[in-house]
Amino acid sequence: MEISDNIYQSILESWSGKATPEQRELVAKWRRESPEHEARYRELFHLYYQVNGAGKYDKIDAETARSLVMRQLSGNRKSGKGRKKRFVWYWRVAAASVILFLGIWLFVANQDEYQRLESNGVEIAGIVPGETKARLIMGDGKIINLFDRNDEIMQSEDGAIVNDSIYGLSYRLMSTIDTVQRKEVFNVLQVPTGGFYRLELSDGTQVWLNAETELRYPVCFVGNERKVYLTGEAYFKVAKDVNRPFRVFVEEKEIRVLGTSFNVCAYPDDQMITTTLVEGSVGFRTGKSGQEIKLKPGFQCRMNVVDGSCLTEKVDVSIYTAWVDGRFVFQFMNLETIMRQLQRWYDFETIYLSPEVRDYEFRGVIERNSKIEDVFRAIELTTDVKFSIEGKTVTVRRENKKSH
Amino acid sequence: MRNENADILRHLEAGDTGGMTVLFDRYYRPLVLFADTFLRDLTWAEDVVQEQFVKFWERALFRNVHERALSTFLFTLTKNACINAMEKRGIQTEDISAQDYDFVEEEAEELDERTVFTVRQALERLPQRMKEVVVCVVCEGCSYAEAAERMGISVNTVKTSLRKGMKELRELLEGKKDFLVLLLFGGKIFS
Repeated sequence: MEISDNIYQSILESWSGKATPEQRELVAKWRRESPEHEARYRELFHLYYQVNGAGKYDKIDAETARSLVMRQLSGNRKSGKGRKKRFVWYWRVAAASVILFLGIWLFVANQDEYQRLESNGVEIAGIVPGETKARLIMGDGKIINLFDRNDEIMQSEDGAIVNDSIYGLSYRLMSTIDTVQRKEVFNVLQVPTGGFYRLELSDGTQVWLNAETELRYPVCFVGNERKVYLTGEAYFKVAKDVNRPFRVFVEEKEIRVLGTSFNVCAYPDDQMITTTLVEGSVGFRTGKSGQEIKLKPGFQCRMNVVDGSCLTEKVDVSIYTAWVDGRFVFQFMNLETIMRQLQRWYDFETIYLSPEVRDYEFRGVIERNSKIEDVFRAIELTTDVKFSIEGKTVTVRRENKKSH
Repeated sequence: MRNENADILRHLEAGDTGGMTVLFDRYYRPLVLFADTFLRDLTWAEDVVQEQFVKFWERALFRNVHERALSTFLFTLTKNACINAMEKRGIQTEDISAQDYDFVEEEAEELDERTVFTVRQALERLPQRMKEVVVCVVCEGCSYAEAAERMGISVNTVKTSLRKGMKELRELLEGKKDFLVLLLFGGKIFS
């Protein structure tokens, strides 16, 4: 039963604030007439709200608004600054006694669960999207499996390492007093195939780690430099500290950073280190030539691992950072590269029966929680590529389509 | 992110403004769009919502909120602020009645960046004129007459284009929520 044109118009115009009192009365009466009318009304509103919202969403400058609001907050809470510290301290002290007890229990519990998840994956024999999970190797060699959960607190010597669903694994509460005396203890965060994790270092630097990535970093930064070591892909939001430059090492190549946001993609099988700068400034140095190359925001440097040659160009950075927001974005990417990215997240192997399909190019966006079958189906619908899935292996071939 | 609210509150109780940042990122735009249904002025809506965030922190309103009620609390806070703001300016609060408020809030909470992205993609799929009519009436709040004038077409054309457009959008969006939008391509494929 369709809504009459007259009512439809009256409804929409009332939502725009352009309806006459007669129109509004007409709508109100119509809604009261039957529950079905009311249901139609809500259905229409649902669609309306989404389209209206989609149109206005970008007009809302959330970044500027946030700065405005945050500035007002610090201003007004100045008198409470001391109070803030005390709150945090209380929490730590109270938590400390619980930590020791929880730590061991969580360690054991997590291990079982991780194993159960892994074995489930094999039993169900499906290719599923990745999830938030990682493995933490502590300074003493202890291994902890991490998931996107809150209130898990891991014990450490002086301070707390917290795992929560907002900041991920956070070292912010690690004591930074007296770092001169302390040795640098390194932790390693390993994100497996089909994994994703967030990390906050003791200086407040935020790092997002993609699948098949490993970051080695100190629990607490000691000395006048901040050094971390990366394999795989990570997005950094480096906390500003002019006195301590931030240095990311990918094998012997170094990226030197000064309070900034950038993406580093350094998967061994890509044979390339791609650094995309969103904000701030970075400089590169390969161990060999010692020469430094500087990047400007909006630019990307692709360094060939084999010969150390660099190609710098302006790019649409959102393509290279979309994974952080849970999307794959391709702008003229060939199927082979797309499959490689998908493999890391969905965890499968690819076999090409028709090698030429590797060069098919695509443009598009995929939500990272999409079903892999849907992704393949979309590709099949518009090309002559055919995918077959068996267990964790995907076979790709070219099909000879009958002419229309 | 069901657990996120618990974490946000925990950070706020501990006096950490970082909790406000996360709260802001999660709720600002939905609250502004919600306020806009009352105020019909995006800039005004932003001002009002920003004030609420500051109030939320300054008066430690988070103290009395349970994690599961955080969202409703924020929306109610915003609604009341809008009504007050409108009364101050002598504007009548007409079209959102008490019964509507509940489902408006539901819609507002549901609208996130991903939905916006998907809806935009769907809009792009519409034939040009249909898309323009939909944007004019639904996004920019034009009446049919205004849309007809703006686009140089008859009101009748607006009527039919709009209904067809909305119908097609609904079909595109149903069952395509978590979906990908894979647009093709370049390259030599069909030889």
